[in-house]
Amino acid sequence: MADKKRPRKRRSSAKPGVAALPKKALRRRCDPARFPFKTTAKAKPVEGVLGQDRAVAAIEFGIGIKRPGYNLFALGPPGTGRHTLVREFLERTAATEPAPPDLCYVNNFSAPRKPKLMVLPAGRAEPLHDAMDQLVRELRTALPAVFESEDYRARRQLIEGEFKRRQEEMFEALQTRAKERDIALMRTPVGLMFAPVRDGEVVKPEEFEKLPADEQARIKEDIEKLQGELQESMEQVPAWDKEQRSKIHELNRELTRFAVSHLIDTLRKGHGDIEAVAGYLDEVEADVVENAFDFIRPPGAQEGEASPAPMGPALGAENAGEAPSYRRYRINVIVDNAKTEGAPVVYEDHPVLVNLVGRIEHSSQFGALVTDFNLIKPGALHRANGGYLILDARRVLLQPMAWEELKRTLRAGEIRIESIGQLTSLISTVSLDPQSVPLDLKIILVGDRQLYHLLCARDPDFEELFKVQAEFGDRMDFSNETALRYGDHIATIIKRHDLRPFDRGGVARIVEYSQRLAGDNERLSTGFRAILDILSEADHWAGQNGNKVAKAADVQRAIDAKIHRADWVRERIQEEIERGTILIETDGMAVGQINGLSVLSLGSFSFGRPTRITARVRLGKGEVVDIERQVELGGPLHSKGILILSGFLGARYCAERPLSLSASLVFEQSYGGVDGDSASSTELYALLSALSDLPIDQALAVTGSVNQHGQVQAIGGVNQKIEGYFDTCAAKGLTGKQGVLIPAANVKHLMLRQDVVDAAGKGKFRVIPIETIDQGMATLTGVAAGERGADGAFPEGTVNALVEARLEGFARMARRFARDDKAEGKDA
Amino acid sequence: MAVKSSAGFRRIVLALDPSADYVAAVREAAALAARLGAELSAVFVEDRALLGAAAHPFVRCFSAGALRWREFGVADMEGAYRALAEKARRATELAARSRRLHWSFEIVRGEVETSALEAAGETDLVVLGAGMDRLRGGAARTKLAWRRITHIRRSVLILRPEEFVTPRIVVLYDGTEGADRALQAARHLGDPGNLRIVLAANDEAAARRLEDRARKLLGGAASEAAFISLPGSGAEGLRRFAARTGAGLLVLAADSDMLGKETVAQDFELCPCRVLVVR
Repeated sequence: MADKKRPRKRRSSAKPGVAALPKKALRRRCDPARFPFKTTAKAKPVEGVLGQDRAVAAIEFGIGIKRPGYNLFALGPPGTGRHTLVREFLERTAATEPAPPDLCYVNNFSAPRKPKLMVLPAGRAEPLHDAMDQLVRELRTALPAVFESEDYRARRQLIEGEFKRRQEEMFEALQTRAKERDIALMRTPVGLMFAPVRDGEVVKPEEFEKLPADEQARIKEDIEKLQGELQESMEQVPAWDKEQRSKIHELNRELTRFAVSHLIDTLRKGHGDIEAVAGYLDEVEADVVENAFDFIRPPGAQEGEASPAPMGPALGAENAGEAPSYRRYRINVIVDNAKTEGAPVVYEDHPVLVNLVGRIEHSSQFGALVTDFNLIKPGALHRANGGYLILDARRVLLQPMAWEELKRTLRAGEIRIESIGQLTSLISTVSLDPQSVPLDLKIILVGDRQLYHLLCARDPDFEELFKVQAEFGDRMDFSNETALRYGDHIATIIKRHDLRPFDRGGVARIVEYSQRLAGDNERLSTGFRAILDILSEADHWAGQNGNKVAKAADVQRAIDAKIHRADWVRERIQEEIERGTILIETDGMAVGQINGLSVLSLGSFSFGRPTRITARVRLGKGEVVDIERQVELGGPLHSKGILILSGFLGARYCAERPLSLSASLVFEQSYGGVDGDSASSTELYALLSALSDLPIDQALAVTGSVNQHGQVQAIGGVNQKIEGYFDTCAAKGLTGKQGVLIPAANVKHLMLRQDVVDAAGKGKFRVIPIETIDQGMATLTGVAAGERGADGAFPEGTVNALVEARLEGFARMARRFARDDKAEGKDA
Repeated sequence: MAVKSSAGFRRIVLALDPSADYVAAVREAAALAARLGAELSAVFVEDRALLGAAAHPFVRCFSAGALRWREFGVADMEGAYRALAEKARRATELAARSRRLHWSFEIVRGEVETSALEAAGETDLVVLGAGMDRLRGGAARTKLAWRRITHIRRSVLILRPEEFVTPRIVVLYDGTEGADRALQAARHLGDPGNLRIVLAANDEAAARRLEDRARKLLGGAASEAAFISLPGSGAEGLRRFAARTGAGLLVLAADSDMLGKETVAQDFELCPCRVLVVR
C-alpha cells in the first residue's frame, strides 16, 4: 500500500534504465603534484602514527593518570600501528621519568626458604654483588690463614691441652690408686675395664683362683671401688668436653670476628649508606663468624668431602647437616638498572607464566632437586617495574595461568614468584617463598576489538584492571591535508626501514593503494603493515630494475606481483568460465536468469567472480524457495534476503489478495556455502523477470542488497566484484554493452583497477549506479518499470504491470482450484 | 714378590691396634706404600693381655658413651675383635685396590708393637698408630715402646691421630751412615723443596762439612732443600723446630744419639707430627 501512495517520478519510456558512471567516478586518482617533495629523501620525517587521534588521546590519558587499575588496552585491527604507537609514546614518556631502583634477592639468614628482597638505588646492585663476591674470595684466604696461624694453634693447643691434662690427671690418679692395689685400668674395643696385675702383666684367671680367698676378695672389692671412682670421674667428662668445645668456639669466634670485621668494614664504607645494605652486612658478619669453618677445609676431609659445596645450601641442608656454602653470601641481582635511562619500557613477546612473574629454578644434586635464592630468576614484571610493560593480549590469554596470575599481581600490587607446581598445588616439593616485590608499573595490552569486547563481557575483573581503552581505527579521512600528511608518513616509514627513496609518483600510487585497502575512495587505510609490505616489495622491484628511486611503475609491479602470487584460484575459475565449464553468459537476453557477483576470500587476497542466478515461478502458496537454504548451503543472512523478497512482492503486488506464487531461486554451479544478502537484489531481478516474462540483458551483472521497499542498498567488496566480472567479459571480448549494476551508495567505494577504468573510459565497459529495483529492472530489461497511476494501476506494458498481471493470474487459478476442491469434497 | 723400593723398603707393615683410628692409618700407610712402590701388609693385633683380663668373671666393662658398667667376658671381647678385624680388612682392601697395591692382611694375638716388629723383615717399614693405649701402663708403656723401637733393627714410622696435610719434612742429619739412610728415605718421601735438613753440628765448620756431605747425597735435589743448623738443641729443640715449621714428618736415624736418651719418649710423644726412625 505504501508504494501506491508514494509519489514517483515517472521515467521516460523512451529511455528506460540508468546511465553509466563517468570514468573519473571509478577511481579517485591521487595527483603526485600535491606532494611538496620530489622524492621521499627530501621529505621531513614525522613522529607517531597517522590517523589515530582517538587512540593517541586515550594513550596519553592512560599513561598520565597514576591511579590503580588505569592500565591500557590498545585495541584495533592488526597492522594499524598499535605496537608502534604505544611503544613510541611510552618511550617518549619513560625518558622523562626516573630510572627505577635495582632489585636483588639475598639470603635470609634466619629463614633461608624465605629470601629477602633488597631494593637499591639504580646502579648500586652490581657493585654490591661484586663486592660480596670479592669478600668471599678474601674470606677464603683470610680465614684459613687465621686458623693456620701460630697464634691460633697455640691458643687452641692450650685449651685442648688443658682438657687433655684434666683427663690424664684423672686417669693417672685412678691408675695410681689402681696400681697401689695391683690393678690396671685398660682400654678395650668395647670400653674401659679394671683387671688385676702382677709385675706389669694381667693376672690370668687360673692364677687368680690360686690366690688366697681373702686376697681375691680384697681385689674384687678394690676393683668394685675403683669402678665407682671411674664412673664418678667419667661423669665429669661430658661437661669438660662441652666446656672445651665452648672455649674453642669462642676462640674461633674471636679470631674470625677480628678477621672478618675489617673486611666487612670496607664494604660498609662503600655501601653502608643504604640502610638495607648496612643491616644485611651485619647479618653477613654474624653468619660468617658462626660458620667460619665453611671457609677452611675441615680437618680430615678428603677430596669431595665436606668442603663447601659448590652448589650451595640445598634446601633442607640445615636439617640434613650439610655445610652451608659461600653462595649464601652472594647477591642475586634480578634487575640491574645501572644502564637504564628513564623508566623501562619492556615488551614481552612470549608471555608464559614464568616469563611474566619470574621463576625459581632447581638444580639436580644426587637425584634430588634443590634450589636457593640464587636461582630466583626475574620475569618481565620485574624488569618493567617502575615503568611500562607491553603485552600481546591474545598471547597472554593463550598461556596457561598467565592471565590469571597477571590479574592477581595487579590486584595485589605485588609480584610473587611461584612455580606452576605451587600455584596449582600439584607439586609439594621444598621450594622458596621469596619476599614479594611491590608492583609499580602500567601494563598495556594490545589486542583486537573482538578480544576486548569478549573480555569486557566475560571477565568480571577486566574492566576493573584495564580502565583505559585506546581504540585504533583501520581507516582515516582522505582530504588534501591528510593526503599530504600521509605522504610524509610514508616517507618516514621508508627512511625508518632503510628503503630506497620513492618519487612522488610512487608515493601517489601508494596512496591510491591505501584507498583500495580501505575499500573507499574517501578514506585512507591506516593498516601501515600492509603499506610497509608493498613499499618493501616496490623497493625490491626498483632494485631489480636498477632504479635508485622507486617509481609508480615499481609500486604497480609490486601490487601486480602480489596479486599474481595469490590468484591461482581466481585464474582457474576464470579459465573454467572461458572454457564454458562454468556457464556465464555475457551477451544476449534471457528470462529468469541473471549474472550475480560474489567475493571469495583466500587468506588476505579476495576476488570477485560471476555466478549465474536463476528463478522459476509457478502457482503456489506464497513462498519463495531458497534452494541454497534447502540443501543447507545458504547462510542465515542469505535466507534473510530471500524472505525480504517475499515481503517486497507481497507488499507491492498482492497487498489485497493472497500471493499465490511458488518461486525457486538458485545459484547455479555453486557448490560451496552462500551467505550475505548482497545478491538479494539480483535474485529479485531474476524473479521479476520470470514473473514478467521479460528477458534480462546477459551482458550485465548485478550486485546489491534490497529492502522490502525495493531500495537497493550498499554491499561490500564492490571493487572485487566489478573487476571479477570485467575479467570474465574481457576474456570473452568486451562489447561495450557489458557492465555491472552496483548500489548507488557504493559509488564512493570505487577504486577500480586502471584497466577497468580505461575500458570504461573507452565505452567498452559500464558501471551503473542503481538506487531502486525499478531502476535496475528498467536497465536490465530495457522496459520501463512503471509507477502506479491515479487509478492505482501500473502503466500497461511496464515491468510492474506484467508482474502484477502474472500474480493476479496465479491468484485466480488458486481461487478456481480452491472452488473445485470444495465442490469435489461436497460430491464425495 | 715385592721389589725393593727406591727408598729401600720392600713392605709397609702396618700394625692395626683397635684403639687407634685404623681407617686413617690404613689410608696413610697405603699412600706411603704407593709412593714408595712397596707392598702393604696389615697386621691386626688382638691384645692377649686384654683377652686374659676379660676372662675374669668379676671384671666389668665401662662404656664411656653410656656412662655405665656392664658385664662382659672373653666371648664379648673376641666378638668385638672379629668385627673390628673385618672392618680393618675391608679398609685395607679398599685402600690397596684404589692404589693398585699388592696387599695382605693378618690377624695375630700378642702385643701391638712386638707383633708388628716381629712380623716385619729388615727391609720393611713398620707403621705404628699413635693411638697405643696409654692408659695401660701410661708413660711407662710409651717409654717401653720407644725403647723397643730403638733397639729392634727395623725402620718404624709413628703416625699421629691428627692428619697433617703439610708436605714439609724435617730430617735430622749428623753425618752417620744411619743419617745418610734417613736422608735418602726422606728424599723419596717428599719433594726436595719441602725438605728441611737439620744439621746436628756444634760449630759452623762442622755444620758446613755436614751440609757438603748431605748435598752430595742429594745430588741435584740439594739445590731445592733448605739446611738449618741447630747446635746442641737435642730432641727437645728438634721437636720445637718441627712444630715451628709446621712439619708433617720428622725423619731421623735409629742410631742417632738422641734416641738413646731417657727423655726421648716424652719428647717424641709430644712431637706434633709423624716420626720416621730409619735403620
